[in-house]
Amino acid sequence: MSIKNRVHDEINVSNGLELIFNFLLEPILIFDITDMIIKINQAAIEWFVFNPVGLDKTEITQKTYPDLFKQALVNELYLLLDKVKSSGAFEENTVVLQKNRKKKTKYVLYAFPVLQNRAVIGAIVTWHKAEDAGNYEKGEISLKANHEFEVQIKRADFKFSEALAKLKKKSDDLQKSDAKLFEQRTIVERIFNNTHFLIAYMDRDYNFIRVNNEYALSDGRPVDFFTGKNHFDLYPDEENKKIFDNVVESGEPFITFAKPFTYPDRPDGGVTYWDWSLQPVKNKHGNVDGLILMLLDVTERKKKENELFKTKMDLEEAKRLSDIGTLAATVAHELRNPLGVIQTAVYNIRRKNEQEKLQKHIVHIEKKIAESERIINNLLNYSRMKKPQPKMIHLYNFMEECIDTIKIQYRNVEVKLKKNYNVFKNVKVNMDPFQIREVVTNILNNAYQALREDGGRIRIKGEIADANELIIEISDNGEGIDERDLSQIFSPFFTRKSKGTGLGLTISRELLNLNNGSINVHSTRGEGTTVRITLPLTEGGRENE
Amino acid sequence: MSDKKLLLVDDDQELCEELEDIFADQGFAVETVCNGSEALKRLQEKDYDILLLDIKIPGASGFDILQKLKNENMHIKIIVLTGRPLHSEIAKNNTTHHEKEEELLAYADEVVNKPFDIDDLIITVKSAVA
Repeated sequence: MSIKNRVHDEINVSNGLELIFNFLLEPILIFDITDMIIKINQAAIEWFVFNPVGLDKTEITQKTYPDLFKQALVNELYLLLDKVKSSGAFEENTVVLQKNRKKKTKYVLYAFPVLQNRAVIGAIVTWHKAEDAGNYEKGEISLKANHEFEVQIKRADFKFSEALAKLKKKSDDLQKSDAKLFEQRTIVERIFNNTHFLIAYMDRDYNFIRVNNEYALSDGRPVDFFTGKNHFDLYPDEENKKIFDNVVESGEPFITFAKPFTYPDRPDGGVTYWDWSLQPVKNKHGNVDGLILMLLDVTERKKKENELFKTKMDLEEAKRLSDIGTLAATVAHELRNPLGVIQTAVYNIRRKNEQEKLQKHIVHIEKKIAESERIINNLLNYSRMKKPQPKMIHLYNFMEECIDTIKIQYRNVEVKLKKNYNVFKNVKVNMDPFQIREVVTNILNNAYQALREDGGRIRIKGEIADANELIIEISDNGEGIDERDLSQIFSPFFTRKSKGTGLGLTISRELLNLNNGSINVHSTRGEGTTVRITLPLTEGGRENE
Repeated sequence: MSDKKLLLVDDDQELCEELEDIFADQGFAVETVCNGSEALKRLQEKDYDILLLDIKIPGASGFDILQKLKNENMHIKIIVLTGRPLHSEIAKNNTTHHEKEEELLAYADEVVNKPFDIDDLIITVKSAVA
């Protein structure tokens, strides 16, 4: 290390000292042993500026004093420096300067040796006008063993202590911000290297500057492998390159989720999925000069999502199929085809049949085909159980329609029909008319079918209960239901009728449930049956027309 | 007077034979085909007076055939046989039934649901070529 540097280092030991150095009013020059000025303070510069020499700071340092001073000062300074170098102690001298023709000013020059291991390695020179002499006392400068540079001044100068206070505050602030910086850097470092995200920092040409451990690990390479290498040399991908280019150009970040990627060197390794974002880093001019790439491997997650989706689909499919209605409909529907062919074949047999004795059998087959048709239709009706589509219905008119329809169907049957639902006049109900019609029709059908040869009677009564419930009661004086059968009447396919499907009441109850209603059956064998249907009067209610 | 030519397209082999029997008896010259692609070929090769067409068939679908006949404006009566009742709840749930199919069905002269009443079918066919 050169002597100049040594002096430089010893003296410039902290920024704090720098402050003192420049705050002092006294001009200071620091020389090295070759008589080169290596440091000059603000006061000294100003002195030179205002005095005949008139040079600026950069010109002053690095010049030897003979170059600099063109006046008597030079010789005196030379002598002074020599004295200091040989004595290794403080020296002083006086010099008279003539600024201009008139004025002569007497200056006192002081030189302090800069020592290291008791050898002189430089000198500190200061000066002032002789008339100011009383303000100074001799100071001592020594270099302590641990290279602490200490200036001892016996009489405190006001301006010096002000500088010192400023220095102390600056030093404290510096320490605090240093600590903070260290803390932040430690935090950032820790985040950078302990996150499960893959992070890569690149320059704008996609050369890696730094990657975190996770990135390196994921790629199976050491961290320092990447620095300097180009991202697209390692992972060529046209689409991704376009994305990167766009981010650099537009300055807008890019983010994507579950983007598929195949490693170019392992195409058989299967496709992987990544959430990634590319953030541009801008310099103070707002131009992109770096990129931060963050990646998250979501292959597992994506696979699980796919599986989950498939499971969900399977579940929904299974649910659909397990729905009895759909199952029934599917089966029924499928059955129609072969049944149709059987029917056609039988038609042909009948047509071609010349044998009388076969006729009976053909008739039986045709009847059973028709019966199968009915069963299928009923099964298909079962699948009609959907969410009710309620409409505002005039209840009285609705009842009239149901009864008129059934009357036409059974026009050849002798029956006394008693209607007693005038309370339903002016009543509007919010219900699904198709579904409820099916229920009422079904019950009326049962009533008609239960009637015995003559004296048959069916009564239809309407009631409104508690202003929020409507009741339809259908009673017949038919054969009635056996007590032991009552518990089964709602079970699917249960029937005592020779031509029944056993689904009527099952479907009716289900339809009523869907419409928040209920059904109730009372019966006595040999006397008759009464069926009560209840439905809520929700938004309908009574209205006066 | 020559027999009216009837082409029956249905994948159910037994039904084809039964219906062939019926319509031959009614005085038609009947040909049966069980496959859509085969049906297209036949329609290309020969002239028929009437086509009885099932929708659900292998190869080209009934709709493909309808489309072709519509595009080429062939002179043939078309009676569609379908197991899918158009206005039932099942049809409504079945989402593959879309608008274009409705249009094509409208192009047919008659649409008959399976299972059909045989007498009705005979009447329908005979009045179509009358």
